[in-house]
Amino acid sequence: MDHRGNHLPDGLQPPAPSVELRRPALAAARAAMNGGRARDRWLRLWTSRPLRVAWATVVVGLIVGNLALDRTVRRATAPVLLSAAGSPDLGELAEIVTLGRVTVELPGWEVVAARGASPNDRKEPS
Amino acid sequence: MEAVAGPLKPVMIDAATTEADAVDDDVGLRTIFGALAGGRVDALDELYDLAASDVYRLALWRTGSVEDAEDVVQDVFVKVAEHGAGLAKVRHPRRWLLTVARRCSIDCVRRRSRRERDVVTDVPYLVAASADPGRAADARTVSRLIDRLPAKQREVVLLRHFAGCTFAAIGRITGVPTFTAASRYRMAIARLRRLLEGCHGPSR
Repeated sequence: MDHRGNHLPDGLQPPAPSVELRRPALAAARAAMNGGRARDRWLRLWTSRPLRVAWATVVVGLIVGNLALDRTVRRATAPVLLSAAGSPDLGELAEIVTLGRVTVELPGWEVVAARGASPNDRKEPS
Repeated sequence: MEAVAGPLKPVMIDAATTEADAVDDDVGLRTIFGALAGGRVDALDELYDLAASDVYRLALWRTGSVEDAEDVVQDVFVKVAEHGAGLAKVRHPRRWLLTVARRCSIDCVRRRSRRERDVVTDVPYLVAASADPGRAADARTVSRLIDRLPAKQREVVLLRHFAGCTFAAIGRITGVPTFTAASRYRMAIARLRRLLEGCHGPSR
């Protein structure tokens, strides 16, 4: 079946755009093209494979470096602080570094047991 | 309705010629797209010469407004310019342009539906190829009939008849299966035939 219908009248055609349209359309396109160049650089930066590999390498390097440095610093500073805390000249530092041990004064078990026999003691519910 | 100067003669469009022209256009457009992707601003002029008519016609037939069609042409050229280096990857530039034009037209119609169209004017969907006043009257009459078609059918008629697209290409441009594109075309032509017969009375 021929779908190319032969029912449209002869000698007729769709109109062309007006001549005045050319200038504003091209001006807008040129402006967009010039404005888009700066953005294109960023796009190129983002889509370039070698640059992406470089970005990824830098990020991984920074993370690894940060972790390694953190451990090294901890190892290096702990003995220094301890030795400094032991020094009699640095009393204040010793107070900061060496935490005071928390001691709780509780009666011994024999005291508690002896109290259990006294009438003042509460009875445990059965 | 305005009297038609004479009986409307049917036209037979040479399918082979229009499709071959479309292929030639695609080769030229691909070169232009390559130049634009490389940052050659002057290639915009060549692109306008080669593609503006197709874009404008589709926009006109889709939006049903000369002003909107002109806005669409401008939008399409801005979009092309913004596409930048990505234009080099476009495999079918003509189809791509028509697809962009269609989308811009739909956006334009949506925007327009918000601001009420108060003045309804005759849309010149077709114009006379010659200065013959009889043909000009025909063009006005047929344009009024075309205006009565739904936009989806109008665009298929334009793409098939005047842009030389295959139904497969029309399907890709309009985002419907090939069968649907062919079906829309068939319905549009049948309706146009009825409208034309109604215009002249039964031709028995």
